[in-house]
Amino acid sequence: MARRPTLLDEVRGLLTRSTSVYRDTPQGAQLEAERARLDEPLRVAIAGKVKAGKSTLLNALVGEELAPTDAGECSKIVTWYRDGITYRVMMHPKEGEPRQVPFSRDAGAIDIDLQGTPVETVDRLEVEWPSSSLRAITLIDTPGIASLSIDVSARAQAFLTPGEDQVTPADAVLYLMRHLHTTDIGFLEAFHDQEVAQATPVNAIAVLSRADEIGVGRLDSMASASRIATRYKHDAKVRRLCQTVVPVAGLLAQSGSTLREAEFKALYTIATAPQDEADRLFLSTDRFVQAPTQIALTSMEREHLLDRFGLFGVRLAAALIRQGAVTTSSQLANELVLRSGLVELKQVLLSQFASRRDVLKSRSALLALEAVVRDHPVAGADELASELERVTAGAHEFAEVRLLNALRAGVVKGVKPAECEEMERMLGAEGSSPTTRLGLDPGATPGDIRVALQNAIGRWQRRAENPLSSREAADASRVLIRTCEGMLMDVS
Amino acid sequence: MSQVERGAPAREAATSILEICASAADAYQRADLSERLAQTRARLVDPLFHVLVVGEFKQGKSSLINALLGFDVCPVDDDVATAVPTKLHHALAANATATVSPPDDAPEGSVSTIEQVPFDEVAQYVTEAANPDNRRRIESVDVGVPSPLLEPGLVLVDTPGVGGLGSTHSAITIGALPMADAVLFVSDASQEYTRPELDFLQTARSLCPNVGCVITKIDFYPSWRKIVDLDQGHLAAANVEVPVLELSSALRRLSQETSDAALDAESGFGPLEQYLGVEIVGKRESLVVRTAAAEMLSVVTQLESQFASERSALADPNRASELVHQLEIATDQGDRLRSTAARWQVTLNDGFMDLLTDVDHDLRSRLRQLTKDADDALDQSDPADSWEEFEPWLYRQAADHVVANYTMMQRRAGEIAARVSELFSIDGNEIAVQLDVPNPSELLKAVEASADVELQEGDGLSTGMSTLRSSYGGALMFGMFGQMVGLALINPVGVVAGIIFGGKAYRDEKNRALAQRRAQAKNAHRKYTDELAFQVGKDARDTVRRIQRQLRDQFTTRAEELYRSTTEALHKAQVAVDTDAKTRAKRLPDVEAEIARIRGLRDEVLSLAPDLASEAS
Repeated sequence: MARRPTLLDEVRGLLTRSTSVYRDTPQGAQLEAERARLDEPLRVAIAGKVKAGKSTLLNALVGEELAPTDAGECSKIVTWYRDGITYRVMMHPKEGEPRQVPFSRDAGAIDIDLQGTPVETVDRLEVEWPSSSLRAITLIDTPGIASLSIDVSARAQAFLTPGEDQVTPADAVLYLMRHLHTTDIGFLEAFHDQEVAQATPVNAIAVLSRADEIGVGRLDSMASASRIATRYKHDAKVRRLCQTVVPVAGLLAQSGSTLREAEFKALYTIATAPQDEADRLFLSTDRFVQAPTQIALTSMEREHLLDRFGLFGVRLAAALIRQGAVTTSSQLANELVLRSGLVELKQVLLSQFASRRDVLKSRSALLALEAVVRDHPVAGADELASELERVTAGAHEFAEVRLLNALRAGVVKGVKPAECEEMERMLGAEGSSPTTRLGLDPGATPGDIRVALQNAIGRWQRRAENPLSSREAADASRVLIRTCEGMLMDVS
Repeated sequence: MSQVERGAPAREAATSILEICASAADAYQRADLSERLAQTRARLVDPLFHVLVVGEFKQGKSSLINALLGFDVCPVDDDVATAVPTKLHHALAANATATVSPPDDAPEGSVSTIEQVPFDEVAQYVTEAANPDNRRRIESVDVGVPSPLLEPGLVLVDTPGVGGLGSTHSAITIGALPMADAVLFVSDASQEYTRPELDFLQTARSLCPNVGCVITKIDFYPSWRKIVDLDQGHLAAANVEVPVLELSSALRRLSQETSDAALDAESGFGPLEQYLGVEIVGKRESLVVRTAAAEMLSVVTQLESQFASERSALADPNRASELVHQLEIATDQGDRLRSTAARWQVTLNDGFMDLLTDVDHDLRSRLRQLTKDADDALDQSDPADSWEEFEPWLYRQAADHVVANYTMMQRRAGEIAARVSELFSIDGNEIAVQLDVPNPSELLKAVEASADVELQEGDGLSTGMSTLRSSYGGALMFGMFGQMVGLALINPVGVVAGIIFGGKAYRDEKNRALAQRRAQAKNAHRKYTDELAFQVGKDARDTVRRIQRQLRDQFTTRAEELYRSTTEALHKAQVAVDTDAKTRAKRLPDVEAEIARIRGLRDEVLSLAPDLASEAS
């Protein structure tokens, strides 16, 4: 049996055709780039208000200290981090050709030398860095929104939510927030205000960052953060804007994934000192660095620890070592990363973005094509437009996305919350594996899955045909039947 | 906590001198004067200084207040906690009351009710978790706690965080700003000021004379010093001159438990107490004491005048008939001063008549401009997207306009008061000269001083907010800027339409829906500005009338007192003329003694506010 053309295939074909239609026009190159983009890693932008911990989280995700982090605002230019063959930094000015710029790397973060180019004239920086973490995802660090320097804020806004005619260069966004502010909501809304797929919560994940600070460093801070994240997750306003809310302690994640042996030794020294001696140091950051103590660490060593782990990180690490939960530096690193919420975030990234990457990338490409066709009607563009509409309307993936979106916005009438939850799960809101979608045990056999799918199809069919079902519920049921049928084919 | 109580002894001293003055007035049968002193006493004994604690949410406002007071009054939580403004004042035993608005379906004109709240259940009323979306309809909660910090009349107001999802909070806080004696702006050491924070600070600075910035959680953030530096830089760049204090509530609480002085010093609360005690309470108190001293001085001078003319008549019988003649003229002038045809009366009435129309016109043109601006803003965006920002923007603009309107009224009323006071002084001075009092201008000092208090405070926009504070505190604080209601902007309808229709049909539908949303939104804000114009307009008219009445009563009372003093003096002088030499010789030392006693009292009054004496001489 010939393979069904996938959505990505269709989109690739469509783009190839449009490149020939638009050959010799300025849009030709743009469409060419869009087509090439389909084969590149998914682009995930890390966005959020100023000092939300964007660069710290980026470093944690890469597993290396790359982006500079600092107490003041420091990321002022949109910076791309992508996998490459060599280490190099390209500067893309707003006007003119991109060129390579030198950089140095001391004490972790890379320091890029713009060679006197004014920051305002730089469109973006591209850091090529050979790294396995960047192979599947290109990460984009953005300047903070609501930054005091209006220019910086504007640069981030322009990148993430370009005007009506442009298309955001990112396929998906990780939105970092410390607490949910009105401006956060406004920003997320703007990011979703696009035509083809309309407001889709599928391409955004909210991250409750700096989660360790929520309890001002108490050891149960992460539990508090999870509780708050759960509340936000169920807030109607948030639901229609992003898939989920994940708490992450960025600093802990970054330092955990880059823990050094010497740091473990220093932490071990604190953990094995008399408890009240250590507690005296933990009272405040000033005391931790300056107070005279019998613990055999110099003031500078202590300052370094504080810098890397924060007071919460040091307290947590000391507690873990003292309780005997960890005995080696790699165990501590794992435990810190686990507790930071980074593992959970990576899982969500994997299940939500990575497994949907084709849909997300297709979506970005179609958005771009739609803008071109609308704004630059040339001979053959009409045909492209109807083709575009066919692909957009015909792709079951988009139907799923739309339904998921409608469910989350709470506009599907006649569906009870429990049923709504089941529908969302079936559409892959919690992960795309068949067992997750069907709510089965992960170890279920293909036979079990087949039975469950057939049951589900029967159930949705009855729901669709039931004269008491609302029209929206019946439509939703039909989408779900097709989803189940598709899965059934994959299982066979 | 000794520095906190610094202001109180001055008030106590003033109160005890005031009591002597009152008994003297009683002894000389001047009930009118002792009644005036009783009013002064009430202001002296029980002043209230409102300090608003504001900032974005989760910056540690409630923790700061708990640490200041030394026990946990305001609920603290990792999630958003404070949802209702909580006012903390001094009380001998802990107690709490809640002000509850009438339900939506209550008949028009229903007023808020005050309910007793069990002290340990305060959290049930003020927290977001226990009272989501304020279902209990609580306007504010008043908590009385025994605390030496609050004893001098300090009232701390814990406000819900600005910038949260409940955007009306920020409008309420801005509406309350002009009513506050001071504002503490709280931001934690995790990051430097953001644009919205700095904007808020600028607004606060223009609406309230005393603003202090507090940077919290310095125990937890290693680079807090850098953040403080950055913040000071931002403040300097924005031309906002305010003190910046950095502190740690956690260390303070710990130091209270362990009585560890080093921890207490590190917590940074000493300078904050100093600031509250000296800058806020201290300065306000000295103003209160000065006003009271001026009132007392006027009373003492009038008492003295009675005896002064009697002494002149007794000491020099040859001059006596001339003196009686002078006093007759003075009595005549005094009678004219208290009549409605007096120059000050005419000026007062005319001035306020004009003011009434001007204030009304100003408010109307301001709100008309606001409506226009709002329409323009809505035409440029889709209300479904922009409503979240539009709503607080509108509240904020409305608050700015209303406050500007009040400020204008205040300034104009102050000008009229000054003019009236000037006329009154000229006419009053003539009487005083006839009365042969040692220092005629002192007589009128009190009138000027009380007009002063209203004019002198603060600077810039906030000039003279004190009358506003005392008379409208209730109306404006946390009450006036109501919410827009009944607007359901449903964006997702478009989404469903997108599923059902496709392409162009969807776009047409979308445009139609957009136009409808805009019309809906415009309607909503019009309804809001109409309601605001009605409420504020009425409040403004009432205010103008109230100030006019207050001024009229104040000057009329002074005129009555002057008249009484002149008739009294005339009577005593006539008696002195009629008596024989022997009685006169016996009476003279008594009168001298009385005068000496009153002069002694006068010196004591002047010791309260030495600047009054220097002005008088």
